[in-house]
Amino acid sequence: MPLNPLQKITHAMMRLMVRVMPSCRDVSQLISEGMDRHLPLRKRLSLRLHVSMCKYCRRYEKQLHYLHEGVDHYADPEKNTVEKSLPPAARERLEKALERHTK
Amino acid sequence: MDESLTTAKMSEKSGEESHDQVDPKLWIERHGDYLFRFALIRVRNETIAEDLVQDTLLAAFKGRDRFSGQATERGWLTGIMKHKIVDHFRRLARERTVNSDDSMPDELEGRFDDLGLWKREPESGPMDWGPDAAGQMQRNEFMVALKQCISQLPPRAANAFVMREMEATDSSRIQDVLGVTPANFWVLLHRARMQLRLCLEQNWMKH
Repeated sequence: MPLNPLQKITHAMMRLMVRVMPSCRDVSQLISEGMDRHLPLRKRLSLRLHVSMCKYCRRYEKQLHYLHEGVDHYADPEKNTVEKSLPPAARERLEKALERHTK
Repeated sequence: MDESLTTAKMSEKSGEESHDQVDPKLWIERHGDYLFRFALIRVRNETIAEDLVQDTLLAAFKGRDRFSGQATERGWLTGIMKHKIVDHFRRLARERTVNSDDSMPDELEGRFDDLGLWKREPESGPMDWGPDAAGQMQRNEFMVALKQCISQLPPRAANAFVMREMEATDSSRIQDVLGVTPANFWVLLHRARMQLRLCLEQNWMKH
C-alpha cells in the first residue's frame, strides 16, 4: 500500500528526529527492558517521546503488554486449554515410584 | 536439592502433627494432573514434566515435616516444583554449548530500515490488532498459537521468557541460572518477545 501524504510527512519527520532520539529498533528494546527493570529518567523520557510520535512503537508496547497478560493466563494449569493432562500410564509410573521410595 | 525445601513455608509447629496430614498417594490423586500440566506448560516436554512431578513428590515426601497447615497442600507442592523447574533450566544451560541465539535473526532485524525505523514499504511495523485483542488472549485459539510460537523460539530464549514472564523470576537470578551476562540476558528476552509478537501476529491475528 503506498503511503498517503500525511504518512510521508510523518515518516520524513521521524527520519530527522531519529538522529537525536532513539530509533524504533532501540525503542523496542527499551520497551522490553522497561517491563523488567526501572529505566533511568533520560531513557524513559526519550522512550515516551518516541512512542508518542510513532504508531508502530505504540502498538508494539501495547501488544507486549497483551502478550504478558495472555501468557499469565496460559501459565495457569487451570486456565490453559491446550496442554494435555497427566496420561494414565504416567500416573501409574508415578504411583509405583512413590510407593517404592516412601516405604 | 534441599534448597527447594528450605524456601517452602516452614512449620512453626512440631513435625508430628503435619505427618498425619501428609499422604503421598493422595497427592497424585489430588494434584498430579495440576503439577504435570504446570511443568509441561513451562518445560514443554512430557517426559521431563513427568520426571519433575516425580522429583517434586519425592522431595515433598522427604521434607514433609516442613509442610505447615498455613500453606495449602497444592501451594506447597507447587513451590517445590518451581525450584525443580529452575534446577532443570540450570542443568540444561550447563549441558548445552552456548550458541548465538541471543542475536537477532534477519526475519526480525530486516523489519527495520537503515536508520532503525520500522520499514514503511513494505509496511513492517506491528499491525493494528483491533480493539478486542486483549479479550481474545484468553481464548483457546490464542493459546494454541502461543504454544506453537514458544516452541519456535531458541530454547535459551524460551527458557528466559518462561522464567521472566510466567514466574516473574528476578532478572539477576535468571542470568545466573542460564549463565549469561546481563547484556546477553536483556537481548535474549527482547528477542524472545519480539519473535513471539511477530509469530502471534502472523499465526493468530490473521484469522
